[in-house]
Amino acid sequence: MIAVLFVATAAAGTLLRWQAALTVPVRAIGTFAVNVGGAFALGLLSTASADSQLVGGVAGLGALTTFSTFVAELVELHEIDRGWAWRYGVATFVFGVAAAWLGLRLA
Amino acid sequence: MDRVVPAVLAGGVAGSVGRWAISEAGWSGATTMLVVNTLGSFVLGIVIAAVPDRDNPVRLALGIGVCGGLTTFSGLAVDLATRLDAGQIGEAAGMTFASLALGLVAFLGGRTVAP
Repeated sequence: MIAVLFVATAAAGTLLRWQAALTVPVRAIGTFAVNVGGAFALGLLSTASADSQLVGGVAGLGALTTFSTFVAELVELHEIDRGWAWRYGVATFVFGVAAAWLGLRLA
Repeated sequence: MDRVVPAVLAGGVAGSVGRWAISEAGWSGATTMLVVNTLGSFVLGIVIAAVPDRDNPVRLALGIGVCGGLTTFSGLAVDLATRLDAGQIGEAAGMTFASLALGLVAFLGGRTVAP
């Protein structure tokens, strides 16, 4: 049962991340949104049961958020506009960690 | 399109299962995160350079699917927030630097070695 839920939430997280990047004018904005939102939600899950953390956190939020696409966007942005690459990188870490911290506090 | 969606979702599931399997290898949470994020960034560099068309189904399944599922930002953010909360400023800074440096070098290396 856990395996089925793991597969379902990982697929849902992947779909949501993919669609988020396609529905905004700049893909990086979608990546930023899922990464910061996912960080907040994972903080909230910190007090949940081990099974909930596995299904919701490892599968769902792990699949929803991404580091590889973030890195690719940083490099591609840097090749177009260095200033925006720096802003994107700093904003992702500052807002992501702040969101995770808030989630941990509210959990 | 009808085949692209299942392929991307299957890739995302495969990447997520891979991340879980690596997390069971016995390393610390921080090491696990560095390994999956660096590995995923390297593979994404190869995929992006080898398949320049953003909408190519193989690129979507491997890039958005497998690499997106394998790598994670939420776990890293919670790890950093926990360290900062515990006053481990140096460790948090080191983890941030290591994640970015390894991820960027891996991505650029992947682009370079791509066929």
